[in-house]
Amino acid sequence: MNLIKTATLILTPFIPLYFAAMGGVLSEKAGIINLALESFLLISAFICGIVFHFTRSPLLAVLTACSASALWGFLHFLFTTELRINHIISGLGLNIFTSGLTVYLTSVLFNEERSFHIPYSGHPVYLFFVLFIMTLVLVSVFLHGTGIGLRYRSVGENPLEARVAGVRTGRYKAWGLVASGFLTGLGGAFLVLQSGSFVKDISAGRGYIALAAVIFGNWKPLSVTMGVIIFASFEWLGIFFQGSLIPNQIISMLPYLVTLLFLMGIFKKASPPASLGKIYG
Amino acid sequence: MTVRKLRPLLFVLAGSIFLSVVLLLTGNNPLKFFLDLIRGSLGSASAISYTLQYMTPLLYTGLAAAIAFRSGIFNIGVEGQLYIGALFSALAGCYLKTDIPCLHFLFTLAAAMAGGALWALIPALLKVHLKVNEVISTIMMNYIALNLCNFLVMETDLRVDKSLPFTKNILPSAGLSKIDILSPETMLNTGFLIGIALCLLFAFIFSRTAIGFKMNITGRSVKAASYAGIDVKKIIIRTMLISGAVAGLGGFEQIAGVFKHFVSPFPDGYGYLGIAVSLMAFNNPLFVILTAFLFGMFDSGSSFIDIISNVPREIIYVIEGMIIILVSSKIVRKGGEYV
Repeated sequence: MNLIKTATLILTPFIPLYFAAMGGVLSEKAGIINLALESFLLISAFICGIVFHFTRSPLLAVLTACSASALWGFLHFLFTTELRINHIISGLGLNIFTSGLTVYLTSVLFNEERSFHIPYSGHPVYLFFVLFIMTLVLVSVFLHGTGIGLRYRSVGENPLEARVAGVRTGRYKAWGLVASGFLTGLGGAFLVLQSGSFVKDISAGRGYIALAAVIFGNWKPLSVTMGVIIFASFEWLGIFFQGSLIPNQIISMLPYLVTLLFLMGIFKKASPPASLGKIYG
Repeated sequence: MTVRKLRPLLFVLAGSIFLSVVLLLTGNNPLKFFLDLIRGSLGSASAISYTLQYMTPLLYTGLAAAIAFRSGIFNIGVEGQLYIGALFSALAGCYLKTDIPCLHFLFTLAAAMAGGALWALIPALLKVHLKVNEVISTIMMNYIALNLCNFLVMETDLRVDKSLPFTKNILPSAGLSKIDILSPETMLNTGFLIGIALCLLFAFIFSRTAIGFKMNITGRSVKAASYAGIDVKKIIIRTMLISGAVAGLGGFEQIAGVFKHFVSPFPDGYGYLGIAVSLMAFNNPLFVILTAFLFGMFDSGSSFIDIISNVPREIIYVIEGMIIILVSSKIVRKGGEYV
């Protein structure tokens, strides 16, 4: 029991950030800036809560949550690549849209409330810890150890040359964004299962911190995970000191400050995928 | 006005149709929803007054975004610049006392502009000297501003009382006076007129002055601008300073006209909605007035609906999110990096 408590305490701030950050890595390695991570977390948390509420099956809830979030990933792909919308705008638009949609549907389904509880009493931490290890290995090996991964990265580095070399860049981007959504969905599902309720804007800016971690980790899965651990440890500090030594607001500011310093090249030079955020005809 | 300029109305229509489908599927009457939206935003003198009150901060943030976008700088940091401007004006408004009342008002105004400009200067310098992409840095600056303001207001002596989460009230000499011709109950104030005047001023600057011309050219093509002998770095820094100062004035309007003190948490989202307002206005300061009015209608109408029916206010985000996405789909296709 004590072990569960400790593990929960340590992993709770880490897991949602980690999955969102991995989703961010997948998306950005394919050249698509992903500000929509926030909306991925939000829609998956909402769907997970709803499905669990009505079916009482955690597995089904997590899977549908991930699928919903994968659909959001596909939307972000459509907007940025097919409709050629600026990546930042598409992300911001999806975030605002999803925030409104989830609140509205919650109020329709739960008598004008802006939140709902789910009767879940399990400990999702272990399952998600296993998933964390598995996905980390999978994503790292895929990106840096396989031929498809090499082509995938080439789409984010130089899509024109990749296309000349016979890589179907559109397909890579589409599947990349679907995978990005699916992975981030695990984080959103965890948020709801862990807290036992869905509240308005439950993602609470985690998508943006995750994006900061992606930048801080120089777009490499292992370093990004290290970045997430560092950012999560700020949250641990907050829980540990309860604002007595360092005020909470300063702690919540740290991830952004550290990322800004990183961008300035104080620790190491940032090297994003060369075609990140560019729109090609 | 050409037909092309009317296209954003089509996107409002598309968003409305989508929302109608969502409302129908969930058992609400879309027709009643949109009638209530109009009733709550235009239906009475007080409704119009609320619409104008809600559009006021969007005038400033929309204009701030438009100024930056015009010059090809993607300033997502309007939100944070507004926060810092608000904090600075709240502090100047209660601590910078002078015997000449008009001077105190000007000090407060200047403090807000300085705060916003300062917060915009940091990403501008990073962009010019260290080639740091302004999108990411301004997003980071937003969250730093948010947490910094909350920290200063909640944890330091600036807080008026341990039980109240805000700073001391500003002195009346620093405040904006209310406009209560339409309705005495709303917080519509002279900041609205200042906002309109600023939009007109920048419409003039962009079409008739040298600096406006240089900003336009830099926005169209950095290469062409530098071939033409324009100091692009200087333009970038100036643009960000101006954009930040306008965003800071938006914070000033909220403090001096609406709240009279900095409350934590401060209302958020005006900066991001300003981006939507600007994009929908083709980054044209004159059209910003129209689109800010539309978004003001969304705000007042949805608050009205929240009160009189069981539909939550947040439903309007569905339309707003869609408009942001749809509007930029056409604009990007026209060519140009962001504009």
